[in-house]
Amino acid sequence: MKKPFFRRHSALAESRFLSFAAFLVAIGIFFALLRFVAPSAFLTLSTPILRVGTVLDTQTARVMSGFANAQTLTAERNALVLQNTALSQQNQTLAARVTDLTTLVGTSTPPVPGIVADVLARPPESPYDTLIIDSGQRAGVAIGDLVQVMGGIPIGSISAVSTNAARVVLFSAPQASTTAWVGTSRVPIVLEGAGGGSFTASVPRATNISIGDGVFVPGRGIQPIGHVVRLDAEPAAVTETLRIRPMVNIFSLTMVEVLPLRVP
Amino acid sequence: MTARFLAILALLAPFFFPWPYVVVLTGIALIRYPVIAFVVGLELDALYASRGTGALPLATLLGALATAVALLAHRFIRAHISVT
Repeated sequence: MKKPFFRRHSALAESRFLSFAAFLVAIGIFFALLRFVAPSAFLTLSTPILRVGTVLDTQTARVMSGFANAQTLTAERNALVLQNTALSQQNQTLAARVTDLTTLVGTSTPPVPGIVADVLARPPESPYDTLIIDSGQRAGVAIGDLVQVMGGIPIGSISAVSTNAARVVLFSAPQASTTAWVGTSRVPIVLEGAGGGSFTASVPRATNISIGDGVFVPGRGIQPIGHVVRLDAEPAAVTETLRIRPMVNIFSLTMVEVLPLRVP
Repeated sequence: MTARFLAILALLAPFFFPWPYVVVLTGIALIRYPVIAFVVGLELDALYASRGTGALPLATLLGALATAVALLAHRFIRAHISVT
């Protein structure tokens, strides 16, 4: 008996559907095996693809900026140049003061040389507060090394490393906690990551912390990491929750500096 | 052909696009290939999850849930069509 066309067609389509679905499942199993059996190999394999993505992103931004209003861009550039000049002068003043104090005290801690790395992936590509950077074991990066932005503000630590890449967990990652200080009286707090680059912390209500107080973490000396933008407290609670906005915009990071824990 | 192209795009999306766009692309590819959600979830966790980002691989679990729901929906639709 002659088979109807639609039945043959559906049988063929069914086998093609299953074979592509099987291909997808095989890819998923491959990802899972690579991630758990050879995690450094997965980072190494992913790095070239992430690099292509970064280049495409940069080129797209360059093309799109050509459509921006020239007057607006010029005004913004002039304002940034003025701000940069003021900050450079302030930096020089502070550096001179540090030199004077070092001479007075008679001792100083030599700065640890850092490893500069390009950021290949950042939030919001990453759904967690993690970065992927293009420096790995070959450059001297190791698990646990501190990561900071250019300027010295710590942002996270190395959690996984391969030959040519590493993964950074930011201090703002959910379930990450970091010791810090807040305010002029340096009240000790524990910063809890709240995701999206922000933090929270709980303090007793009697500590008199105000909106705008700076938050600092240990680094080279004491490093500012953010400031308090909101205080939340239940009327009957003995503690209040600080909502902290970070100084660093993690969504636009392009370069970071890795400070090795072990000085060579 | 279009469905396969969307599925491959969803597989490559975690390398290039923010995660909300990855979710949208995966949601569209899910209509034809339910297993894509689980695979993309695995891929997101393999790329970006680490110790310190949480005890559970959230993207994998949510992907598995989306796949399960999509498979149930597919079965329901097929059963409904075969009955009618």
